[in-house]
Amino acid sequence: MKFRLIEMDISGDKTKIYSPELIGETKTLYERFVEENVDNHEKEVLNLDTRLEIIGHETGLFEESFDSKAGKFGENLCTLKDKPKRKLRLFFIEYLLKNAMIVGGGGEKPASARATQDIPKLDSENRLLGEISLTIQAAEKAGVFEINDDGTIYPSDFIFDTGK
Amino acid sequence: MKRNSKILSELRKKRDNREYERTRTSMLLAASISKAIKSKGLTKSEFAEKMGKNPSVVTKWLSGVHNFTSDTLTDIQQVLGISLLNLGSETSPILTARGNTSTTFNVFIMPDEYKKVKNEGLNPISFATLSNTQVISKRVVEMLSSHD
Repeated sequence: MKFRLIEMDISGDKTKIYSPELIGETKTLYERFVEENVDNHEKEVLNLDTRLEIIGHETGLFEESFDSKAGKFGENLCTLKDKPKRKLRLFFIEYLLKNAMIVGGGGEKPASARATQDIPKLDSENRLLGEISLTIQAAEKAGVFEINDDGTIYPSDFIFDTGK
Repeated sequence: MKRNSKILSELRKKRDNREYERTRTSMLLAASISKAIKSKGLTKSEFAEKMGKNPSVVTKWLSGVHNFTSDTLTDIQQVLGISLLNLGSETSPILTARGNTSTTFNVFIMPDEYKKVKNEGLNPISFATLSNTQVISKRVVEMLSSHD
């Protein structure tokens, strides 16, 4: 699976916000999340989008504003929950020290469900972003891709390959 | 180049400005409090103890979705020695204006400039562009130049 990182328009000086786009598709994972949930949860999707924009342009990503430990150890996956009803979960990879975040997909978490893994849609989105996170880390380690301290990425058009 | 997709543009047309400002205020307050706790060298638990609250309450405050009461903000100001309410002096109002497109801009200007805008009936967007040294929200200028 190949993908590239797209800087979203909510990205700002405080935090750069990217979303992966799978090669061969025309939408990023974040756009897909919005499309999938806007009809049933318009207010919640708007709330999440607003908060991302404020993080990007005004507050920056700060550790109390999200739930960490959303994935396996080392994946750096976190969750944003909507306000007020906390119906949705949106996964992202945090680069707190580098002022960047990579927003993936997510979905609805019914109140009756205890864990993300109990909901197939959330589980698959979580696994996908976890795989993307590890692939980005491998590219950084190999010295072929870099996330700078100001959140900018180099090369910006780098194509990642998960090898699967 | 940043992605400005149709689906996201359509979504944002449905934004309620009042709701946007509520969310923004909650997040700005949380970020300011979080920063002040760190600059005071306090842990969240130590701050909670000084406030006489359970640490879980502080976690909620800092989540960026909490609806603060003025009493809570007053207490936080006292403990951290910061200003969150800015009462007693003229505050910098948030002026909302529409640009050439359907995008809504929030223009933050200082009290003196606010008086000038109000008294002279100026368009806040034009004013922000002309006096960008006083504009706190850099994004406004960036967005304006891309539209002009």
